Amino acid sequence: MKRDWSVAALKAGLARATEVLEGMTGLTFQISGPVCRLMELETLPELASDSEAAMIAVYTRLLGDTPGHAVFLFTPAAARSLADLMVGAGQPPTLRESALSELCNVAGSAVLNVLADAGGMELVPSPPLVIEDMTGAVLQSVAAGLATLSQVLVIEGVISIGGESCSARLLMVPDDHVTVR
Amino acid sequence: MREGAIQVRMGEVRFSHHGVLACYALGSCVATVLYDETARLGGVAHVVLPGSAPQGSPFPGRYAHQAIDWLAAGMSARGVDPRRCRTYLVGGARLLQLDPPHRGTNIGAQNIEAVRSVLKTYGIVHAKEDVGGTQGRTMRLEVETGRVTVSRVGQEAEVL
Repeated sequence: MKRDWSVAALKAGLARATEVLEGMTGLTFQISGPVCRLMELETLPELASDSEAAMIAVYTRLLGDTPGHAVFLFTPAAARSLADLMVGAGQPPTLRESALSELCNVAGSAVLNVLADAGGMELVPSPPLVIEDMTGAVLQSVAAGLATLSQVLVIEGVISIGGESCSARLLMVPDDHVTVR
Repeated sequence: MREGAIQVRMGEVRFSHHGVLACYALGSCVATVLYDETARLGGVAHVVLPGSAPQGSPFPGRYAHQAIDWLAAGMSARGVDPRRCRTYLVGGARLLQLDPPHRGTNIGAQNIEAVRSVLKTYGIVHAKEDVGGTQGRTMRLEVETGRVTVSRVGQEAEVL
């Protein structure tokens, strides 16, 4: 099966995610992108400038008509700041993690819903998984599931939060047979 | 320290008589190391998937069977008997642990078993291992000394 994702729908999806996040948190969000590129599979783990650096990743498996992967990447400091802004400083790590997970779930679902409606397809996200580890190890595990491909399509949005006091990246990587036009 | 290290990327097999051979940020992949003290020769395979490459696959080195075959053949071609080598396995973690019904297969565990199985066909049954779990790892082989270190986020590198 070959499906197209349109740049216009991705842009609209990111804009919708911005609205939803602002309504949910009362914070200011800006999401730039999407930037779409084809990458050699081997270079996917090196997408972050330092693949060994600790990051907080919120990972979602995408199922449905165009399966794939979505990963939000935060520096530990940005994740902490954002969670503090949402639930207040000094909360237990489990509550901060839950807040971050919910935020990414809402933002990711907003993008997927717009994309699915525009393309007349079904896109179903798995529950999000929060991982604190080397960025490269998370992306390498995603790449391993795509290892029959030579190149992968990476769609990236950069998220600025609270007047750029912290930022994050959203990466979407379809399994196969997806083009963006 | 990354400067000067020879990076072994996904699906690659590399050999060296000097310097550092490194696999950075391993998740489910398994770094397989053969090292011969006498020849001061190290070989590293970065295994991505279990099993054998399908017929005509353009990426045979990503699969355990072909990668270990190339690793053993490369050591032999340089005058080293793979059975005489010190052997190390690092990686094979499961970072993306999704709950049912979205559970994926555990590629990391399958990679570990596949590599062990292929090594056995070469008579290699004793390997030092730092495998499995849910954390990413970086493996470095210092070829002059044969020292293999494993590092994780927030921890000092440990000698394997």
